[in-house]
Amino acid sequence: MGGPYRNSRGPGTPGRQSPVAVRPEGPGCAGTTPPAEALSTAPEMSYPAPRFGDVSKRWSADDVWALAPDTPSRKAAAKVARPASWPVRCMRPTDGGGGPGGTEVLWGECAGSGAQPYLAAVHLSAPDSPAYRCSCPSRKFPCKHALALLHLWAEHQVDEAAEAPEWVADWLAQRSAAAERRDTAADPKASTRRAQRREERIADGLAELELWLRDQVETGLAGARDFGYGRWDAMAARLVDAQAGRVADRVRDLSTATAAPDWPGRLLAEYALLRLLTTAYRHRDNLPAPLRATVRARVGLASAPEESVHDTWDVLGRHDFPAGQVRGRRFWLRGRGTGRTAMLVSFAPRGRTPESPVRVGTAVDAEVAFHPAEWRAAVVARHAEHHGGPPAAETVDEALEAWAGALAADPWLEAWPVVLGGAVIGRDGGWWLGEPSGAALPLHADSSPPWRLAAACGGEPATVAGEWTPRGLRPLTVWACGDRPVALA
Amino acid sequence: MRDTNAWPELLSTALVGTARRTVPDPPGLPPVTGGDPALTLLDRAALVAVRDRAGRRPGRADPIPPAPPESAPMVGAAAARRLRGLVEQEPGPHLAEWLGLAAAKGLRVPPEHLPELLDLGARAHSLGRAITRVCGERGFWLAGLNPRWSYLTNLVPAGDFTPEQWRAENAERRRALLDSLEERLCPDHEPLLTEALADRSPRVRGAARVLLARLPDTEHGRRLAAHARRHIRTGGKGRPTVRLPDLRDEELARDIGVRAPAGSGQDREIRREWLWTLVSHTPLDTWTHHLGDDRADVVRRVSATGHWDLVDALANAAVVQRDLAWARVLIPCVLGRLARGHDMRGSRGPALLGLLPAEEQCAWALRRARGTGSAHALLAAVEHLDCPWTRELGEVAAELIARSTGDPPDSSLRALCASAELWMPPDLHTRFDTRGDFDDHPGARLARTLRFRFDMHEELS
Repeated sequence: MGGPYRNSRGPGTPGRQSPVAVRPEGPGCAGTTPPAEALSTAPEMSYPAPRFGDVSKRWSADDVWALAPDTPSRKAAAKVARPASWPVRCMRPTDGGGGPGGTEVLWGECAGSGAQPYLAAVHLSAPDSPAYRCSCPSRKFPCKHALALLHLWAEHQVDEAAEAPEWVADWLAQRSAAAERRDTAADPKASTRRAQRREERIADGLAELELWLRDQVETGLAGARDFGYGRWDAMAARLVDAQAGRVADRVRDLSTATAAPDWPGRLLAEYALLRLLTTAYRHRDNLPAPLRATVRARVGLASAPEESVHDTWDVLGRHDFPAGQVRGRRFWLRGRGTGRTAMLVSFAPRGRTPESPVRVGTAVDAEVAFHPAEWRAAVVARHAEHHGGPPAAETVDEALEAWAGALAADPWLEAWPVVLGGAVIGRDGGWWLGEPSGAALPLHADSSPPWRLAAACGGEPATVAGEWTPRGLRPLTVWACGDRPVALA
Repeated sequence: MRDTNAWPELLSTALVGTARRTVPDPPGLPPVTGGDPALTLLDRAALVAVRDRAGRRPGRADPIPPAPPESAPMVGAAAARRLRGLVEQEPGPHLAEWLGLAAAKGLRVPPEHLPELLDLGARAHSLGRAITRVCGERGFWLAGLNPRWSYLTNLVPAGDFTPEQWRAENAERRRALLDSLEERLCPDHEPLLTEALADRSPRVRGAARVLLARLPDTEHGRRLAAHARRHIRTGGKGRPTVRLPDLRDEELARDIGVRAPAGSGQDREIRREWLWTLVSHTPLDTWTHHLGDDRADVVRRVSATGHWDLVDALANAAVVQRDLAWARVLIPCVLGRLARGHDMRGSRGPALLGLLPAEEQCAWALRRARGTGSAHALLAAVEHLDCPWTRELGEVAAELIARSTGDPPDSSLRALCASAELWMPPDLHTRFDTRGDFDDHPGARLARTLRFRFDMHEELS
């Protein structure tokens, strides 16, 4: 299985791949061949990945609906998710475990309005699972049929079968072949040349950005609010041309920053961090390796996972965010044994759901492969999944200290996971989350007032996981009464 | 050492521009290799920004007081999942049904759904009332934190209150307190309600008028009866005659709690409105031995002379005063007119029917539909019902609809199915064929909805 690159649709349907784990770098790149450097240092992994007995539970209906790209899709899927609509609905168990509920693949035939039934299948046991396939023309991904099929499976409404029909077997074979192709990458010399050319183009783009920043500060930021979107978009477009996609997103997002009441400070901080990034990129060859990796990641150069860590990972929380033209989703994981923090990120175009390899509130016994920067990681082998209970908590002081340490490694860091135990909501002008000692963190404006958190815990002390950001804490998950995890997003 | 002014200084220079102001050099920063002033400013700003972020100290804030403990148990996991689906959709009848079922079982909702529910209840008061019964202590506690949800406390029957306490409240609350008397209304409330008839707020006056009309043998009722008898009396050949009120009649205006708009002269519409209000609140027994021998005789005589405004006003009186006996004699007359194609708007027919117990409403519909085999006829009988159907009525409708699934559906069948989706006993879903072929037929949709409701009932049983 080839490193970070994820293909959720299978090679049989070009252009319908879901770009996950590797960020789509600029328009038109989503779903094309991955950059070679993403593949060069793939860790040794077999396919299909899980080699150990897997005791993962079958998912609940909630988990299934969380995969829906939007609410209308969920409603549409709920309508189709009736056994009567599925004359054929089957699952094949994995050979020796793996896959949630020991399921390798699901397939079914859904009677639609046409003469031909829609053929839907979901591959559950691969490291990049779930992967979907459906013969319907829907542009939603996963489509309502795939979701409905998963729902029926979650409700134990599918039959077990030893043999998959030909179309399912073909699809699995294609997926397996594609995964192997990705493992044996193309000509290494050519890819090195390509990578070099790209780094140079990025350098040119960043030099232009630096001049632009210089001009802004020389003439003064006071007029920036009246720019409209055009000024930033033009700069962002040049950065897209220079293949510095992530910097382009950051510049484009500046237009929204001016809407906030504290916009001058936010704009200056962003400009300053962009300047820091251009300087760091120029000197990248002289930086220590970890910082160099961070700088490369921050400009949008893809990396491959390097180090694989086996642990039981508490899934602390999930946050969805807009990222340029696509939607992003990140999960924060913390290892029970190693104490390490991992961030799983995935992206999807509008109308599709970013991949959800883990579920909030569970503890996953898994091997997680770390990229060299940003605590970014990917699940490469999942052995078991438990109902986690509240994760180990830290004090506010410890959390801020960890944040400071993380900033030292990555000054561009925007969010860092925090788990507070016995946390209570405070109100003092703004909204806060405090701990028994009385120390408190202010909540992020987007999370204020924290109605869902307040409703779930009722003002009683609870374990709360969230993201600390320069603009305050964003609560993501609360373990309230009975230690039931409630996702707050 | 940290210079807390570093950031504001750098920011104000950045706003004006380095072309016009020198770049500050806050103490305590590492040196920045010089060159362009704008870039120097950005470098220093980066140092200060990251330093400030990394040096962030915790604050302190007073915790909010916790919610009182819950006494009601929470619904099960399956019911909770269904609720989540329901609140994500447009609020519809199934959400109201879910809330009703949960309330009947004395269960409460998973608290994390309260914010969405309270938002929905703020937009639809009928839903709000249902929410008060399932939101638990947590719901009221949460509503106390957000002014947008403060409506919740007004929907709960208040405890006892003294007239002094009542007078001290604002108009909205005065009205809410009066409304809360509804379920426990007794003759002791007459003085307060009489006082409220002269309230500044027309909404408070309206609430008082309605409640007073439900009390037997009140001073106010006697005064209204005297007014009413002056305006409506038996004329020649035993026919009722109606005289519209004079808008200068201040005593009447005061007793029915209205004011003549300035410059309205003797506007006929306003006079008709006054008469409507007078009749609606006048004790209904005023009319027996005045217009006819008994209730049925009164209705017969009034309708025989074509005083339809008066029939409707009497119907409204039965609804306002919740008088079942009068409702029973008025229903054939009022709904009969509706069935003959008269304007549905403003008719009190469905509301009259709604006064009857569900079994009686359904029995009435069955009598009307007896012997007719068409969706059109059955629809005419059930379309005014606003209660769950009895099994007997459900069976009749199910048989008719199941028989029609092969035919192209007409508008009557669609409407009948739409009613059945709401009110048919959900276990009748087994009567329908749900194979995919008739997917677009309203019968198939009905079957799916019934199945959905059936599961919902099971989850909350």
